[in-house]
Amino acid sequence: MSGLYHYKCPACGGTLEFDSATQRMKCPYCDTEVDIASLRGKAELGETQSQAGTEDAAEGQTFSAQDSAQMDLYVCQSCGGEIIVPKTTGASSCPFCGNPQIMPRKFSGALRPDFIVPFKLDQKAVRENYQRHLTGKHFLPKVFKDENHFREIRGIYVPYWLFDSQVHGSFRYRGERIRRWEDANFYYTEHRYYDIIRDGTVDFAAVPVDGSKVMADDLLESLEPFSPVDAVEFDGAYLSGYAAHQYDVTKEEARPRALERMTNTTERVFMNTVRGYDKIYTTSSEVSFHQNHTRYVLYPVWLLNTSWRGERFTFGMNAQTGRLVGNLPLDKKAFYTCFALLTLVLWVVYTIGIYVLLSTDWEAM
Amino acid sequence: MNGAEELDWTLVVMLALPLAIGTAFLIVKGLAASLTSVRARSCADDYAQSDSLKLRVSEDTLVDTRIERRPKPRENQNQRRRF
Repeated sequence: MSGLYHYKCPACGGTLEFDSATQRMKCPYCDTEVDIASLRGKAELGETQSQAGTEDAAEGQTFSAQDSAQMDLYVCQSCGGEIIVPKTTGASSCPFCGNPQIMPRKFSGALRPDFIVPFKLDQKAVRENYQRHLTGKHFLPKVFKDENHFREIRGIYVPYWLFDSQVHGSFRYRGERIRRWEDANFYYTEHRYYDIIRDGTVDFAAVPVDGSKVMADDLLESLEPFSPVDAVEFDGAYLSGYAAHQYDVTKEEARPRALERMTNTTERVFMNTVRGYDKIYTTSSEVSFHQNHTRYVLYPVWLLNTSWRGERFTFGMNAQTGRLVGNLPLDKKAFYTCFALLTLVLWVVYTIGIYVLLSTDWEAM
Repeated sequence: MNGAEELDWTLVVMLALPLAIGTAFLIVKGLAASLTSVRARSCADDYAQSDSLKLRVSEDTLVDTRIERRPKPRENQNQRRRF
């Protein structure tokens, strides 16, 4: 059983939301601003508790037992509407009245994040960055800018595992230096082979791996880097007005991805210390991880869903840095027209070039 | 007789066509690449602490040297006669 929290405006009783511009709680109805610290312990817990799991929570529901086992049902304290969300959802909004709803027990006890990075950029920044993202793109259908509309812009706190580690690397390389010279009768090439040993450590801090199965891993990795510089102690108030997910990927499941990325960087960093050779081959490598430390954090991400001609496009924006990514559609007609024209032009140029090349009497020159 | 008069135009055109297609394809593919910005990361470069690399062992030992000797080609007698 878990309830809903919401933070009431002391002036008008409306539900407060976190305002990224002021980093304070703000009432969308009367614009009253309140410090987050002053709200601690003042969240209102709704009387109605969730009926989760396989219970038949809603009358006339059509969920199967398997579906309902993965859903939680809440009752909105503002309008009484029923909110059905996946079990991992820790904050959402009521689909009927739009009021922000927080499920605090999703982030309590062992599930409490070590810290949270609050949203720094708002929806206006998302729209501006999105327009910038569309400019200067060759073969982007011109009508895409006009025709496509945001179906949804959502601010989401994504659960991340951050891995700190001191990586010990032990590498052996075979290096080759080549020197060439000549005398009256011969060309000489000297090959000097070296046995190269590098052994040492590299420190990594806060390597992120997303802890959510529902979020696309490649999209989230494209939004990096994230930085815990802006991190603050976790407080449920920061979730107000945004969606939030509880982790459903354990740190043990996430760890291999972090180790893989740290290993690749370590290999590259050590390779960069081997200089002055014409050829370098790695003959052996050994990497081990020490002083491992893991933290659980919520990072802010804006997600934009758009649709265009029946196809769905998802964009993500790092709400800390403003980095926006998302694949765009290809204007196939423009692509193939450009390809054909370019081929034609190059065909003429190459034909003239080859003609000149072959018709010149080089021996006479 | 000039070399141009002997030139097989079919050969020139057929040689130029695949070259043109290949180059044009590489150019348009390069231009279209800007549409794709979602890529998984394979490294953790952004999270490696700057100046944290501490090398305990850094040895470069010469283990072998080989010298190849190749004779220079002798001057072609026909070429010499022409000049």
